[in-house]
Amino acid sequence: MTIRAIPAIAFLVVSQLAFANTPIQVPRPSSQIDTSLLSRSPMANVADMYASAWNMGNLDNANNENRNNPDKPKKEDKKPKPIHGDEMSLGVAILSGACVLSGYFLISRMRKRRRA
Amino acid sequence: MPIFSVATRTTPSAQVARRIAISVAAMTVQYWIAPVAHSWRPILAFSFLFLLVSRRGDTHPALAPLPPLSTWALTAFIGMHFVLLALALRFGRDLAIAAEGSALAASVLVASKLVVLVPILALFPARRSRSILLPLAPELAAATIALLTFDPDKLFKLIWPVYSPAIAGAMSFLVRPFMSGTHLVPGLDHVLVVGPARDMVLDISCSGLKGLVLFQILFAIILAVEWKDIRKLRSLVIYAAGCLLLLISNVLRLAIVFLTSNLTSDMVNPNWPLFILTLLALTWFTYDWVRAPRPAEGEVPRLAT
Repeated sequence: MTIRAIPAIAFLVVSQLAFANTPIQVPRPSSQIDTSLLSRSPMANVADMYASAWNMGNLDNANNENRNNPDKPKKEDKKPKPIHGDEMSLGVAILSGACVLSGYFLISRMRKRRRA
Repeated sequence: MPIFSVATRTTPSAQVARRIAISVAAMTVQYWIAPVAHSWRPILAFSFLFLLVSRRGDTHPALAPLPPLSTWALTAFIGMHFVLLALALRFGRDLAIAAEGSALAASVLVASKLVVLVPILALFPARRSRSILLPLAPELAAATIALLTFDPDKLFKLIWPVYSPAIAGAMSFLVRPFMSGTHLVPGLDHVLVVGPARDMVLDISCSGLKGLVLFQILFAIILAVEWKDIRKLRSLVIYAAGCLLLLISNVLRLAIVFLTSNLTSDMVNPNWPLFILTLLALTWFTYDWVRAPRPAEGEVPRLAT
């Protein structure tokens, strides 16, 4: 059963990664992309991504500390515009619906086979 | 075996389905001519009823065969639609304008939008109403629920002043362990959730209505496909549970949006993964519970309740 579930999970993940409205952002400016990464092992690349993400986190912390520091200029205290927690767009809703229906009929097929 | 087929033989279910289809066609024409005084909801509910009756098949309790449609019945049906259409054309616009400022006019307008369901009664013999209504009770109940609960945008707008502080409170309760100092500032038609780095505006577009409507559409499709093989009362429980789960997952989604926008440089809005995971988890855990037991060898298939 686990093996049968793999294509469904793969389909859901791949289709959503391909069509979702939120782009995947690598935490690295394009000017710093190092082509030598291609020749490195995948694990080294993953470690590097974690390291750069960690550095960005530290920078965020530093920014927060600066913001809380009353000696800093007032310009840094200004908050960005409030965000909205809007729901799905129509395209994402259609794709999500298609995924749920596919998942439903896959589960249905698996259970019917198990019953028979 | 085809995944979806409707009754094509002249079974009692097919006879009833055909008369419902005639009513759907008449309501669609009426809506097309005078949209101000009509609503698409009765058309949608009756289309859903048509699908369910067509998919019902020859299950027990059986429907009694209907007599052929008489000229008198058809004339009465068309006549009633003409009268309703004339009234809609004469008073519909005035009622719609008056409904903006008067609760009584608004009630009359809403009632007039439902009166369009009445002419279908002319297509069925009154003496056999019991033998038609009782076997079709699950289908009629499902169509009524679809009529009353599908796309509750007006209800959401009505309860938004109460509902928005509730979801904002639940959201701030979820994020407080990660971020202290989060507090709410109520506005005229929104709630502002104040965070350490970034604030969030909760307005009607964050209500979870879109996810709910998408779930209702998907549930209706699945119900129409599986109608013969599912337990009707249990499917109603799953419908209610699904609506509730989606509203809860919307609060979780808002909490994740707020947390990620305050703790990281990028905002993450996990609308689609949460929606898919919630509904597939619901399917996974309730699929066997909602399925009707298979009939034994030689047993007449009963309508699962």
